[in-house]
Amino acid sequence: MRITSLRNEPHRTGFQRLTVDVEYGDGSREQVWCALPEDIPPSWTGNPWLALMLPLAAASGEDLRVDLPVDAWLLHNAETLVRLWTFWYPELAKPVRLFAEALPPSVPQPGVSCSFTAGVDSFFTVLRHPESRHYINVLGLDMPLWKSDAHDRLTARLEAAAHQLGARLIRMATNVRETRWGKLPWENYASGAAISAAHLHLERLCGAGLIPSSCAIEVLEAWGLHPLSCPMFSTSSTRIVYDGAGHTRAQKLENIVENRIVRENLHVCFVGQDTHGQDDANCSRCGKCIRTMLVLDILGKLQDCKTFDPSGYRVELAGCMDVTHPVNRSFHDETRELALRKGRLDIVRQIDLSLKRSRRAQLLDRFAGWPSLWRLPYYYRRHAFGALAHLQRIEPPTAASSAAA
Amino acid sequence: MTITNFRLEPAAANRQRAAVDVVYGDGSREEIWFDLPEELPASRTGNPWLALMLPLAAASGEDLRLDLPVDFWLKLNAEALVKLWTAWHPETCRNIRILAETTPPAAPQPDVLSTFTAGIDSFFTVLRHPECRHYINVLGLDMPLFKRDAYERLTARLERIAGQLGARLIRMATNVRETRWGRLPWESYAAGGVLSASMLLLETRFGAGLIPSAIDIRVPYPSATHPLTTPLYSASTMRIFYDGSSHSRAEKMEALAGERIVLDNLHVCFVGQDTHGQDDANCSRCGKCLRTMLVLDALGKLRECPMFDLSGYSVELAGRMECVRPTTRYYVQDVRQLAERYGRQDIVRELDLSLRRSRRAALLDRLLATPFLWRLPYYYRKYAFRGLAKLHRISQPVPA
Repeated sequence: MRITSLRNEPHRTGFQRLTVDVEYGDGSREQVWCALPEDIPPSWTGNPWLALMLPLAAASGEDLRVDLPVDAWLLHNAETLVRLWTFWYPELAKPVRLFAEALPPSVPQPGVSCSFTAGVDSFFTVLRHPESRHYINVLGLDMPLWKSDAHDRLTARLEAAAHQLGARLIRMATNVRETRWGKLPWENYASGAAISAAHLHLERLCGAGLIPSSCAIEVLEAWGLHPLSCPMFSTSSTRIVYDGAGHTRAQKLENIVENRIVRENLHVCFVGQDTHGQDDANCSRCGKCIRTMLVLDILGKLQDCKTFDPSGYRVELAGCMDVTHPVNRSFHDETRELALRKGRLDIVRQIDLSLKRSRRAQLLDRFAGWPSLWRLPYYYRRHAFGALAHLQRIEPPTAASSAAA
Repeated sequence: MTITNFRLEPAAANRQRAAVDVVYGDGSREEIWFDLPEELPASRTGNPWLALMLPLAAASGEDLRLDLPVDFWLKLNAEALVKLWTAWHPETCRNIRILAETTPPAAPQPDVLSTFTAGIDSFFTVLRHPECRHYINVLGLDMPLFKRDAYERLTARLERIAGQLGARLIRMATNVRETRWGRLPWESYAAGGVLSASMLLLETRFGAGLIPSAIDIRVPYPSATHPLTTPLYSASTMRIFYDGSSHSRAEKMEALAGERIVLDNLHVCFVGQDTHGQDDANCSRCGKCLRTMLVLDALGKLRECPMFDLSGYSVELAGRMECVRPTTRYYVQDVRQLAERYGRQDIVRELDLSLRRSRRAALLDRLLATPFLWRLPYYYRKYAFRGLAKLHRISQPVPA
């Protein structure tokens, strides 16, 4: 795989678009781009592109050649990352070699950027890092590119929140999830690379990029945004900091919920109201929304959060959550701990029920590869978790309308 | 626990001493100090002291109060570290609060330094970081304070190596392992704190400190220097890097095998010839020396390393290595993998034997608490690992 022909092209008014060509081993070629405001000095190194394409190179087993100079420290870190991924995902990632001219280490810029989605993690991070004055939000990552209208509405709200916190929101966009890269598992593998790459695009402005933690530091399961992997996207001049991993999600919410800006803007959902990806509202039905609403309920603040629709909410939904995945289980455990601490035994009981059901589902999963018996885990899940999130999927837009958007 | 009364005093021969008093919850008090060259500006913040004392505070369950300002980012990192330790070592570590005034984040200086012992890890790091022009070595950590003569000989050699690599060696010393702190488990818990503290003491001059990795990033179990914990000693003014975790120890040696300067000076032993702590030579009998010699043997370079005494070496010793602990097992498997790649089936066979015996020993360890049967693991160990490292312990020097 080769990254070549970096160019700066005009984009929509007020934006510049940095584009590279990616040549794959099979001879095919794609353009990958990242748009950012035209007043931001763009990076001319290969750093953001190496960070971005590394997971795809490792997944495809193709050596990665970058026709741009890359920071020497990032090259070392990238080797370590590939090593980690081949250990975490032996089925998915293969060892690859990296070829690029190495740039000698350089001095960091003073600015601090932070990814900002108005979620629990990002509010927690920006509130405890007042020195971070540049928040970034990237259309095309959590929110699909074709939802640019929703992105405009969302970022208008984020801009207002950023302004209230004395910072500036930098709107960015990328097509990377619409390329071959988009087939990579997002949540447990590739997300760290895309978010770090967005920070590295600002390397001429910021010497540190904060990525709000999504899992606690003691969770050692493989994950896309992980305390072990995220800092490995650092260069000599831009350190990528995985911030807030000392706190669980429930503790974070407990810390920030008194803040009016948080209660008015909290947005955690990445399912979207049409179920086809994040938009500017919480669906209030998916697992992540329900988890957050449970914590808000425990803290007695659910009714104060205007961005959630409590009409379909009830505590019993907690018992119908599938927490088979260890990361989801850890979220459930921390909610339970908080509920216990606050004396909400009704929620504790439902969470215990969900944990019990999930353990059973996990046991039954052993039959998933057996003839006839594979139905067992399927039907059990339907019975146990059936009450939650009957999401009415809306047809995705046609290719033509997406292009027009 | 309170860290108070910071002072910077002149010490012997062009050196200065940064010292603090530590007041413990039980009312007792100790002085902890670091010696460093007087021309280097020592940090006047609480950063090095926070990094240093955090493991002891967490282990004793005492809140840590500092009379000096600490970097805001370091304080946040320290809280995350405590959280991780309480998960890793639930029996020994407790949640504590860190009470100190914080300083706002500041930009780091451009210079880079690295710890340097002339071991495999540190050679690997300094050779791939030519921008690193300052190496530090601290008497009182691997090498006990009373071995001052050996330290002079060792650092004279390290100074020469640093000169050849275009760098300068900074000699430091500390008494921390002779205080209450010294009772903390070094390898599995506390080493990262003191190595980072030594670097943070130089934060006004250096913006990045490299700690050569002792384990590679795939190792999931707790260790004192670890890719997850070491970077958490970073302040906004100084980044602490765990460097080289993309390579296992054997792979590092493989990468270094062509370097004359490494083969001539490689020094890995921390047992020392008198078995009372590192000195300036490899004992060539302990597990770490033996593992390194096996790797060098597999690479065909053992005879080119004058720092090892080959008179007692034989491949059969590999079968007598005990590798019950996960870290040791990981190192042995690492050597095995290299030996297999280089077609050294004799080494592979012996290492398989060692792994098998260690598995048995681990099984028998379950009987340790059973009356009469507790002797079984003891005798099995004596039988299985008897050939290796009959170290004749020499009496320790009197404190005077």
